[in-house]
Amino acid sequence: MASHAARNEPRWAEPLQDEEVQASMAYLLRKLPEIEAAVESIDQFVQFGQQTFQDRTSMDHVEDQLSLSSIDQESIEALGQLIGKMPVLLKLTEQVEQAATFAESVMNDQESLAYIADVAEESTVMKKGKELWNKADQIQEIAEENKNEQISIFTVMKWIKDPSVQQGLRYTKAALQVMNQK
Amino acid sequence: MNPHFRILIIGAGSAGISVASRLLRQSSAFRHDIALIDPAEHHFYQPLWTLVGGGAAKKEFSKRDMEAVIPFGTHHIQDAVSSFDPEQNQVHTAQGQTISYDYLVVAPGIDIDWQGIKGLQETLGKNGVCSNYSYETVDYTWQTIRNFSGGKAVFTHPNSPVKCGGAPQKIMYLADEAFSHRGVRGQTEITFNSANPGIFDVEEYKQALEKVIDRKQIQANFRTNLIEVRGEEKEAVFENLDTGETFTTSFDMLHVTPPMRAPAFLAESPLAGEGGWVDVHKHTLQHTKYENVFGLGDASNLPTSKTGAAIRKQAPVVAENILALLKNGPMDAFYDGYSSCPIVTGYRSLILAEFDYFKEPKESMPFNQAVERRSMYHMKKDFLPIIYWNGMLKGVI
Repeated sequence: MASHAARNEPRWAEPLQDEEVQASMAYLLRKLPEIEAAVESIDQFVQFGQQTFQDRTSMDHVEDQLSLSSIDQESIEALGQLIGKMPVLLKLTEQVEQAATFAESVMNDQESLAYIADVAEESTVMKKGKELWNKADQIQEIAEENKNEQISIFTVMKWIKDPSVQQGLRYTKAALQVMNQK
Repeated sequence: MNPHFRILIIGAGSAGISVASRLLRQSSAFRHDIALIDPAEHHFYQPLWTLVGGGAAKKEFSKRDMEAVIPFGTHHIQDAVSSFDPEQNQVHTAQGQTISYDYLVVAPGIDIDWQGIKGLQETLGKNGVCSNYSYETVDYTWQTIRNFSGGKAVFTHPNSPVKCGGAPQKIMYLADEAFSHRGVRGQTEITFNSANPGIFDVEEYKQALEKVIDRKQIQANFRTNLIEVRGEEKEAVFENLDTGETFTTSFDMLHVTPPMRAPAFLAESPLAGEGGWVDVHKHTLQHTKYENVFGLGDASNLPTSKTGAAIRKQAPVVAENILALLKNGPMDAFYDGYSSCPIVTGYRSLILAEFDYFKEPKESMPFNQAVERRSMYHMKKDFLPIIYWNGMLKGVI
């Protein structure tokens, strides 16, 4: 009987005998509600597009806005070039972002800040700076104390023999020699 | 139900945390889907210990609470791995947990074998026997150097892979300078007994360091391995690795670099290759048998020097290649064996050795790094710790 029935079937129905086809059809039938919903969404989107293009008032408004903006052919070309450069720009941006993340982390890391402060405290430049600052305070103090003292020409002559003044004068002499060289 | 993570990382050291941070920076999809397994409560910046042992840095800055360095979005499972089951994508822990994963990153570091030298544990921290290789003992190194009044100072390098191959000699150079400052160098004999065949593997830096040991009048004995310490007698027993002969030497100070080995739970697992290290491809860092397993850091079998600088270059390769696999793409990230060793040669000088798998210099600076430089010393002492905590562990450097 089965072979007789098969003989009476039209040729287009033959694939229906295939189990894979039957499984696919069953799957499609199960998915039909989802497919319908998806098609409906696409249809709505297409209809929205058609309505918008047919709406002269809206289109005129969009055109007015575009004509007011600085977007022109050059802008479109620039956009194309910019997209082409995106990989390089992304790399640069990432580097900047990494540096910013590092800096932010240091600023929020109290232990690292304390370590940096310790390092600065130990550094020779800072020590020299502090010494000079202390000396400046001391100089100001002594000058204030002796503000009524009269400085004689003999005192100035004594200073000239002081090693620090001698060194300063040697630098002055050397500087004058260099500046006078042609 | 057993916990499951997309990325499971074994070890919350430099390597594990760097990989986790990098993955989290790449995609928020990993947030709360990465776990780090590590029993430790603290994380240490170990490169600082050379300077701590030399009295040039405070050890407290090398230690942070583990919770303070675990990246946000990562689970810290405070437990120890007991075994791996890569066929089932699972690991088992000492506390009886079974944790499954999509991708596994193996980075448990290297174990120190204090018991590998007879008598060492009993005398470490007294009798002039010191070692920079633990947070607990590093203070005693500086105490020994500071109080040294002349005699025999012996420094060792073991017959095993070590973390940072240059570290055993760095502390010796600092000690030499400290002895000079204290006026006892003239009465001191410094000896470097190393199991290695030379002072350094990379020819360019080897030549520079040979000049350093000549200048400092250090006696270097190569292919010599420490096998026993007799603390009370102040004697050390060494073996000659070529002849097998042993000899005993007295000491007034002995700095020991202990032998090191792969963690037992890794060495006994199906992930281990020769020597017990995790068996990975030297360029992709992917396991040679299990595609979803990666390995890096000191526990890997990569034929390069085991350093933090090497991990800095390995971590991005692991993170990028895992991402590539997740996107069903090819693994493009490539590790060339880069490693670096900032060899402190004094309190104001350093040779910055940088090289690759071919033992060829791969220098970052625009000057000859085989020259001892003050600037590079300050970079190591003052800047690298900051870069480590805020750059490397955050996945940005």
